[in-house]
Amino acid sequence: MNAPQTFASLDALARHLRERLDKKYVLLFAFNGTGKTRLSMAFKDMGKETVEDDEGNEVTTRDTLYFNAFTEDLFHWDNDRRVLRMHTDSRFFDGLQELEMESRIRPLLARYADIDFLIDYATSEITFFREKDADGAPIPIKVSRGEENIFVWCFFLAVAQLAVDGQESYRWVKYLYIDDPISSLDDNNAIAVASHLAQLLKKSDGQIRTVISTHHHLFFNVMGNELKPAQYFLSKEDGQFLLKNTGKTPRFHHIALLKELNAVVESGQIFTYHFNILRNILEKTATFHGFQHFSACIQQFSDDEDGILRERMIQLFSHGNYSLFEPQEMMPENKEYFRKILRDFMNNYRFNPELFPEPPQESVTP
Amino acid sequence: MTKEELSQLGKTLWAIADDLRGAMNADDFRDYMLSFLFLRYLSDNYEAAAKKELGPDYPKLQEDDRRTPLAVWYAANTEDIPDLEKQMRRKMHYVIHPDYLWSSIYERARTQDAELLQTLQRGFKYIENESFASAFQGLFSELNLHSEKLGRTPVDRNKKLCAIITKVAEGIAQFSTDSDILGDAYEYLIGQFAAGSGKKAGEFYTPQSLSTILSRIVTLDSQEPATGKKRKLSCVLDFACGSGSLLLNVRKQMGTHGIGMIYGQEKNITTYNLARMNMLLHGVKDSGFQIHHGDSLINDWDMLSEMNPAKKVKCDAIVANPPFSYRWEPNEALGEDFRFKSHGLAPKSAADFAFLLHGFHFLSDEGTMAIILPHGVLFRGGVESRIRTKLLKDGHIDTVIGLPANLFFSTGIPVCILVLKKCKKPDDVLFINASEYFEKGKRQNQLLPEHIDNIVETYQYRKEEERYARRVEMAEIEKNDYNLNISRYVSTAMSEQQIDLGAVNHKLVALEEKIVAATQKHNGFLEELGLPPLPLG
Repeated sequence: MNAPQTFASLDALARHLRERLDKKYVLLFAFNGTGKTRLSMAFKDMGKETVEDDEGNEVTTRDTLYFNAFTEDLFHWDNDRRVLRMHTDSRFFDGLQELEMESRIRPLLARYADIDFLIDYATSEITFFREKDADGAPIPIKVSRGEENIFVWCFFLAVAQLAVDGQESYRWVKYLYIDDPISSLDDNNAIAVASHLAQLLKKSDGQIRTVISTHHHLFFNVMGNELKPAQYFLSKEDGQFLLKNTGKTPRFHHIALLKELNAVVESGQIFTYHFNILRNILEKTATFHGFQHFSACIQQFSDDEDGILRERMIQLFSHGNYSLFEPQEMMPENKEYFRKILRDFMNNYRFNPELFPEPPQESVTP
Repeated sequence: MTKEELSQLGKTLWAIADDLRGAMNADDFRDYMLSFLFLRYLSDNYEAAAKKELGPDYPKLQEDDRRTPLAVWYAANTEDIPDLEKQMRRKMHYVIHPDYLWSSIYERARTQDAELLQTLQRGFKYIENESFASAFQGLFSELNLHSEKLGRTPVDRNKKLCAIITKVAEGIAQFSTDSDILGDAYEYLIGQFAAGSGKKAGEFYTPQSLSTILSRIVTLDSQEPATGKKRKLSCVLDFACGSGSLLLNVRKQMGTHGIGMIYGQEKNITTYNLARMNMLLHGVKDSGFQIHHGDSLINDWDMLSEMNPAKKVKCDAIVANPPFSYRWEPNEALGEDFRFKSHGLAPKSAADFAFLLHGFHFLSDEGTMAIILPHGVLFRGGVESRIRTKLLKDGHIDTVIGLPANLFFSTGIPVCILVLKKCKKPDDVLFINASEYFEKGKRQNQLLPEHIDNIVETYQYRKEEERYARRVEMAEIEKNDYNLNISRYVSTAMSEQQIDLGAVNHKLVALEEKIVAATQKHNGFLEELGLPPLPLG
């Protein structure tokens, strides 16, 4: 893996992204607070140019269609009238009326939410509804913040689709910059959003290049798998920005952890805090599969060994105030339990075998 | 059937739907409801015709006899059945076995017969395959009688069907069975379901007022609209026909025998089935229409890709309300397609012009085409501008009609009607800006009969009227780069009223004089009372 590249400012980094990256897609991972949103703004601003139009007036041209925390500011909720207002002077809304955005947004929205909407083009207001009254007039509702966000996201997707298709009104779009759609969306939709976005981008045959930044492991991973982009880890150190090529290393949190656990089992260097990590994974898995308790993820056997194992585990876990800084190696007996739990878990739930070495041979039951 | 009756019937059926649909969504329930209405319609007409055919031989049953007279006759006259059926086919174009008549089905439903579901299933199959001379394959294919939505077990489903059919039968029994009533009710329900759900169904329903404008325009003489209606249309085509209401509207304008053949095409299979039922329900003979299930954009209808010019379909009237700004997948092969080759390929983001060119290709030299499209087609740039320019230069665009916003269930965008002809007499293009003439509804705007008349008559007599309609010479359109944005040609803006300053001055002077007189009078009173006067001037 190559050494990280260093940038003195976000502007320098944005310029680098514009000039030096020749991949069609660039995927950035960065923790919150690193400056992702500011980077997207710097990137966007760099594409602004003031030129004279045919009539000699100064006009500003742009080349980036972006989605970030500010995109949501293009919309605001009017509680008195129960409508979402659009600030239609933004170029984001160029195709609003001439391209019949409603029927473009509707199928996208239907994938995430059960609300319907209507746009009043004259007043730039959006009414949300689920039911209509006897005369067929929609009964306006207040939508949740999450629903509002997903609507804005779908709006953006519909616009991005037009840009990707090379539609006239969005001919100016040379770059798409998408900053963390997940942070504003319901976590449940992370995979759906990622895969829909990837499908949309993959269909682009034009010249649009795309930068996507996120702090969300799952989202990052899905985009990475789908788009095969250039992947980078962005971090900040001493006021400088570091860009590190992540290669194909899985960044999806629990996979990375599982890899680590697998490695320690191989090496035998199993420390007590590894039980904490394992418990963390088991809990996530249990939640994902809808079990009440993580112990449900431990394979059940017909013999009574299961009972012993569970009892032993509960004891271990309940005393588990282990420190990462003073690692204690496990007792050999506990190591054996640890191996068994991990092995059973890996056998029971299927993970990409390419990421993990052959599971250790089943030890012969005494 | 009067408007009140129709609305009453509609409400009754709608209430049943609301009451019974339970877990089902409106779209699914619509399919059951409409299929039953369809069966009832066929049955009623058939029984009435059979009664007439058999005359005194038609069995008269006791009050409490719940069998159908036809079933009794079938049982007693086995040998004569083929003759009767032959005769009925000749007269009605179809046959229904007594077991599958609505009254038999209703009787099973009323008595909670355990065999109802099976019988209904066989009945629908029978109508698809054996009732009509031309088989209506798959007419009920989207109607799933075994759907979980009706109930978890077959017994539950049978029970639910019994309930629905009984309610529907009782609901419509109180209305007269004049032959149009069910057709109208059908139409009404399609409209209601479209308004009710909107998400899926709204897309295929053209508001009746728009439908009427299109129909009235295409049925007028194409060269000299002022001379009035054509006597006969050899054929009419709607290549995005939805449930067929636009085609039926054209037929209504022309009268039952005014059209040689009705052609329709529809991509959505459920809607395609609705369209076929809708035709039959409105009394169109099975030999009088052809509806094709398929995609107009790729033109998968063999009949329309006939290479032999002598056999090429040419329609006297073409109407359509295709989906607006529909995203499609143009490719190289389509670029070479005979429909698009000489005009250009509509962009991926909006198939509007692809639809238009598809239809236009099949227009006869004497024909008129009227199509509803979003306003964007009038001014969007790029390839759309090139297609528009070509159509204009070739003299194909006859009239551009701008309509108010909010006429549709599912979208608020303003739409327009383009009237196209292969050959047209006037060199100019008529612009009608009707965007400000409508009745404001709570959500949707409506066109009233006078608004419709105004539009159609303006087209018919090519009238000009300030702020409403204007004949624009090609030179002016060229000067505008072939941009057809209506407000460039017919502005609805009122010019500011001229103010006659002389008159205003006169008025002000008069007022001033009055003030002075009144103050002096008032001061007179004040003086009498020994009080200081008001200042003057």
